[in-house]
Amino acid sequence: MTRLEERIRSNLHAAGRHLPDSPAPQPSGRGRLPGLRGRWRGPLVAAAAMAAVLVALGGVVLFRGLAPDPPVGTVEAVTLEEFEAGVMDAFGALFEAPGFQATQVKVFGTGEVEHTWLDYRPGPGERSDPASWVVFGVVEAGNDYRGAITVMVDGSYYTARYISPMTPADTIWSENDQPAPLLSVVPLQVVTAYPFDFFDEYAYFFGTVFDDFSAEATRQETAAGGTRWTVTYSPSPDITVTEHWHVHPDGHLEAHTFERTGPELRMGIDARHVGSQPATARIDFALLTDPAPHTPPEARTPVDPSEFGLPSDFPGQEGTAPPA
Amino acid sequence: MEERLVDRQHPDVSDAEPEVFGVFFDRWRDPIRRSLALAVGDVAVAEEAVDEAMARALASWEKVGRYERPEGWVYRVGLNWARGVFRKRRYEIVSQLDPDSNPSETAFPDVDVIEAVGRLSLPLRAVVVGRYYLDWSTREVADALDIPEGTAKSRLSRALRRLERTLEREV
Repeated sequence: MTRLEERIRSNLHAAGRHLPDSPAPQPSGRGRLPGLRGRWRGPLVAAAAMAAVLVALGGVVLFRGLAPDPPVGTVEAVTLEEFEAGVMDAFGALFEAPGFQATQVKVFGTGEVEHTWLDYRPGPGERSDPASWVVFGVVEAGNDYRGAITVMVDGSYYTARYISPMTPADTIWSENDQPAPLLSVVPLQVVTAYPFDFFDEYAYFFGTVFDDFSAEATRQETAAGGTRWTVTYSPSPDITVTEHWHVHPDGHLEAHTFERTGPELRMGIDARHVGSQPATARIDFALLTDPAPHTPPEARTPVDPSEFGLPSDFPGQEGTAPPA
Repeated sequence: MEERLVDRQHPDVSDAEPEVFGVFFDRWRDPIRRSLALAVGDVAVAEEAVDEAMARALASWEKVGRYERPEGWVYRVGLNWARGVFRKRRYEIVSQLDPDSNPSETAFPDVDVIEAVGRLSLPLRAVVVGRYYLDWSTREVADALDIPEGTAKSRLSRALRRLERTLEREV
């Protein structure tokens, strides 16, 4: 064991001993065991909501930008545990990088309904919470248009929000105690609900949903030496969901796509976007090798999306419009 | 060097029959509770998580009790439960340590080290705590977390590199 390992070990043991004891004495066995009932409620509600969100998507994935490296190797069946480990390690590599950006596009029918940008660049000592130094933007196109940018710096949230019709008053920064609640009305949110859930939502999803939906996973090498993990599952007998996770040869996640086939659904947060229309989603990731840390925006000043890694035409700027 | 926690606290329950769940519970509830607290950074969440995991172990004890290492199963189930609850909370275990507990037995931990562990992602912390707090081998950690041993080793290696960088930066 190295000196570093000894140091970690001795301090973890010391910390363990200095943790408070259980508040109640520990009688043995069954009498002390709690009921399961209340405990399941939160996780199950969260899982059900996420499943509802996911199964509301469907159709053919419409790729934007560069397509991930195509798979070329043979398809190898893997266990869900191997699949989870492979994808979570690829996520972990993203979060260990100096920073990364992610773009998500969701499409219903022939029209884009949501764009999401995420720009993650933690400062020194700030990796304990992925919310640090996150810039998060979301735009929903359609009959009603809503969007928001959330920035978290040093534990403070700054938000600029837009609700159709956009007005200049909506496009200034305001400081908030919590992430923009406006995001909760954006349909089909998975990673988009709160920026600090970006990693753990996935981690939680793996352990909670796939086990219950008869999921099967495969792995396939790509031409450049990366890996494409695929999981297929059926949230209901008539529905099949296929997700692909493209892992770069360097080990970090580079894309996640989602496809659903099945009958018309009436599930979803926003009923306008569910039904018989095909729907798709794709997220692309790009590493930042030497990102400069973000600085807090000044409250009540106009938004400049380009300062936070967002596209310069991110709606909210005067004269810009939601994506068609 | 203190004795291995496993050796001190792990009785011969590997071949446990269902009716000895009470023995298993008494032996493992507290070390797993403390492990979960160190992994997720929240004593209250760990308290609930270990009870949840133990309740599930009891519900399936006929099967779980025959596992080679049921404590590994309980650790994993507790982690899985806790991470669902923990999503919106920060890692704040240092503030929950009690300087007055066990004063004669051990020095207060180096806060820098514990905070550095807290900056790891949960999958990495789970491996670190299993390896260095529970003193499990990487094989045992892998079994507990139901991941390939190679994955446990790579996570441990990655965690150590990050801890080394973090601690060097804070010197």
